Amino acid sequence: MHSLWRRIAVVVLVLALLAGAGVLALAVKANHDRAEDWRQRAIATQANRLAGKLRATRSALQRSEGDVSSLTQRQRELANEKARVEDERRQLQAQQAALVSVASGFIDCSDGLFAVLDAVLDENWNWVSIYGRDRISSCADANSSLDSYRARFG
Amino acid sequence: MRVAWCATAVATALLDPDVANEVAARIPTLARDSAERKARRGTLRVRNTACDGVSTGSGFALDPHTLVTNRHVLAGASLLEVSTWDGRTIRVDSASVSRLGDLGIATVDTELPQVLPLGGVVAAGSSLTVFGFPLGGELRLLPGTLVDEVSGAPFDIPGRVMRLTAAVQPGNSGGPVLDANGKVVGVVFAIELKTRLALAIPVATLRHLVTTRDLAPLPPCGSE
Repeated sequence: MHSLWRRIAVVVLVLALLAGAGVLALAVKANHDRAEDWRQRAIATQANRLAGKLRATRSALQRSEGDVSSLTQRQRELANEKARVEDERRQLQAQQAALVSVASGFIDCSDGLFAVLDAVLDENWNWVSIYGRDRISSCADANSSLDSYRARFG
Repeated sequence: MRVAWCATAVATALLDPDVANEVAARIPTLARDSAERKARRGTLRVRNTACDGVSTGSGFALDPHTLVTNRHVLAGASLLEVSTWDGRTIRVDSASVSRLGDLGIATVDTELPQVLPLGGVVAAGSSLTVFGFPLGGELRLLPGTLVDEVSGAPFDIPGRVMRLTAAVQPGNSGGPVLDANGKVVGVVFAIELKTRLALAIPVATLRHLVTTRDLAPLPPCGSE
């Protein structure tokens, strides 16, 4: 009789322990489900935040691309203007050098004419006959170099 | 185009499908833009100050210190300068010209901004683009089609000469003719008066000149 009551007590205890374990397992599962749910929500929130950042970055990148493109275009225009100004500068330098050469020819011509004039005034006909033609021909050279300058530079 | 294909494959393999599709759709445009950008940077404006004034032409970098243009662009120069896309002016240190044909090569101490790769033979009917500075103005891209290749003998050019439909003008001389991949396939040198077609020296002739170095000093001013 005593032994029967002991067995019943053990069975009841085992059943109670099993029930307790079941309740505990259900609680753990519910907790796990809730944690998973929160994790999913956190991931979704994070993904939305990243998507927003991506959209903002993409539009900023598109704006930057546009800015770079227009700046590059402007740089090309300025480079082209600079090249043209340098063309003109070189043209003027070439023109100036040619003009200096023409002027030098006319200075020689003028000096020659004055030399001939002085010789004529001094009645130094011998000098005139030897050097006169040569001195006067420098004026023809000067005229020729002026014609050449006009042909090249207008 | 091989680069574009590889990039497309990488994008497809690594990225999310939607993003990969978007990237893949943009890659051909990006590749074309990249080739055009390089060509814009690699095309040079050449200024020749000679005894009879200033003239301009076009050219391109063969390597960081060597540029290619036409013989007649360099001839007679007392001073040669190169203008780059970013506004720099670089003085040419030495220049020489091919003994046969209208090609010239110049070297510079300063590094040129972009080297243009040389291409190969192109078939008649291919779409090509001429880069250059017509009338000494701003850089222009002139689209055209290769009509054919004819004997260069009537033009005093050894080998063959390309005839293109591109509307080139004085100032385009020495500019590169590029294929769809941005590679140099020819060098513009003249306009055929009878047909108004652009004439270009094929890149094979340029390669031959670079290999043989059959070069002569610059012709003096007024000789050509």
